[in-house]
Amino acid sequence: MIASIPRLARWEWFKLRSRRMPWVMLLVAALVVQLMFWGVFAFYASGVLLQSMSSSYSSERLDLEISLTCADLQGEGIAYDDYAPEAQAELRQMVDDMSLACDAALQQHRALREALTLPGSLVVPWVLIQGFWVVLLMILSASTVGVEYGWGTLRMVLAKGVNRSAFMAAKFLTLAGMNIAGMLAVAASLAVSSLIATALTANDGDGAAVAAAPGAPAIDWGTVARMLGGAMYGWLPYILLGMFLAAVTRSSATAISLALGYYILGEQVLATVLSGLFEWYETIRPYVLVHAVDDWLADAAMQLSIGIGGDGGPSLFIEPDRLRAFLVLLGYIVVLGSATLWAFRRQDMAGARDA
Amino acid sequence: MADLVIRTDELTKRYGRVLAVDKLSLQVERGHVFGLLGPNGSGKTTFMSLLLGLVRPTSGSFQLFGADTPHRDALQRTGAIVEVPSFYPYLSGRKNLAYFQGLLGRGSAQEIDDLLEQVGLAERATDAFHTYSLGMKQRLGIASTLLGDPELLFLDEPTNGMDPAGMAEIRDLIRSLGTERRTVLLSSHLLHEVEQVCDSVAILSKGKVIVQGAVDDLVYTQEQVLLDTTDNTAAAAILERLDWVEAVTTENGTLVVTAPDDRSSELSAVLGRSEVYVTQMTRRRASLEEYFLDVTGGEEAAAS
Repeated sequence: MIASIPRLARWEWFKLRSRRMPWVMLLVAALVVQLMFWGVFAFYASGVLLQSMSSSYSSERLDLEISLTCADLQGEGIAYDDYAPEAQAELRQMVDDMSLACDAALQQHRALREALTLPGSLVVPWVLIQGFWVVLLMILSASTVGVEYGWGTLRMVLAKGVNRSAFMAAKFLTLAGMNIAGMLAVAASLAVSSLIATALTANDGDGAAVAAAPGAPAIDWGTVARMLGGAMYGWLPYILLGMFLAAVTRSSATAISLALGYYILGEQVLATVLSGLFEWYETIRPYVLVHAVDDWLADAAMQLSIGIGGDGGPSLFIEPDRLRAFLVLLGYIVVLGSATLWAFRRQDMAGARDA
Repeated sequence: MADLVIRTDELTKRYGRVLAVDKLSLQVERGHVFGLLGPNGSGKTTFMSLLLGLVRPTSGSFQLFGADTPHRDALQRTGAIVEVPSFYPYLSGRKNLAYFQGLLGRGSAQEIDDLLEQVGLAERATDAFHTYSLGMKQRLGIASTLLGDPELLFLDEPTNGMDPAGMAEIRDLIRSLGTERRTVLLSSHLLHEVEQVCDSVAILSKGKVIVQGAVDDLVYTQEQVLLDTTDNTAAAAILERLDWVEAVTTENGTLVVTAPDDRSSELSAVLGRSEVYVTQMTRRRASLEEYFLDVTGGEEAAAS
């Protein structure tokens, strides 16, 4: 049985890549990611973080009105001697306060730049579109299994003597492979955008500053590999959930509806509501799929909070138990995988419904 | 001892309160084209599904290629279409065949080309399956059953949706498929199709086999001769006394004599000796349809 899985997976891949659906999904996901990327770029390029930081001082007695931005603090600085001695003290205090605020803004500005340049640019969008990607994965998985019932092709396949468990295992491996290929394709598109963005901002001087900035978040290639690998593992239960729902309902439409219902009601509404209202929920929280995935991918989230959230991020971040999250996800993979095989192996195969 | 390719022993399938297949025992010899005949809902498709492992039996057992052959190995030597031929609608006919060939793990591109040619689909081979007519889908289904040169074929209503010319073509093809090494199990609602194509037949009703045997044997039992004589009343009396004449009836004034095929020529001589002379003699070979209506009591026969 196990020996036939690679051959079956190869032919599953043949079928899947010939379908329009995965390509449309990939295109949509890539567009969403690109939209986010260039949205961040536009935000960064506008320099709004630095420009919005301003402070003003006015005194009627001295007939003085001063307005400062972060840009004013750079270069030669403020010529205090040009002002009356009474104003100089006020001005120095104002400049000190502004310096602190501008440093923080600059830190965030540089973090944005890091999110736009390789290798950091390969990580941040994934954290932002995790939920969207997971929904696409569940839809694709449910459809891949469900249409076999609807088209009646399962009967044709099984009548060829194909082992049911091997067939389902091959589907799972193919979907997992498709997930990896999709992530790499989106990552490749991000890399191209990154290179373009880097070229467009080559002369703004922030590149060297980012590298030299003390305490700046460091997303290196090792971190990128760890995060993408972690995401590939962490999202496997969703593939199996889609497959399980399709195997039980024997319908892609019903399975997709249930998967979406689970995601919207279960993960977005119920988990949030229970988390906020009941203390007991904290006890089971690490074992709930959505939280286990969050904990498992906490590294990425932490990087994001450091980068985007500014220097307040790390101090607020509670390091989760990633080993426990890994094991919980493994449990979901085993249970959902076994349940899918159990449901699939024991059922009688009816004819096509919408072939 | 006959080389049995299919052997079932009280095979039963129950769906809730519905008994789809009821203690069905059947034997099919190698090299035969075996017909499954029965009204709608008589259990033909369920029976095929049981043998293919698509449906789990409630009780009973079956063997394909003998007790020593594991079921999965047996299926590797089998080609089947059950109900309608189902393929991936977005793939072309050729790619669909390539996929199913890939599942078997054997075969070549040349085999696919040959099969497409054989079933008359070569010109539409690269078109997507969803653009095919029902007849073309059936042809592709038959081509897929022949992938890997199987020893056993299950064909469920293989000419469904075809035009008369296509039906004749496919019947010839099926007839040619039943060779010394290859066995065909054919289910059809077209009684004359079974009669034309099959060597043996099992008539099913309500999940049970009512009768099973060679098509010729089943029809032979109904061999009839229509007679008009110079004195039909006397002729009837004479013929009824013969022990090899099964029955003598009258239809519109004509005598209908049921007798073995090889002795029907003696009727004229026997009557002549009694000075009753035959003015018209017509052999009427009862069709399988008549026999089918007879044994099933006409149950849903018109519809099926």
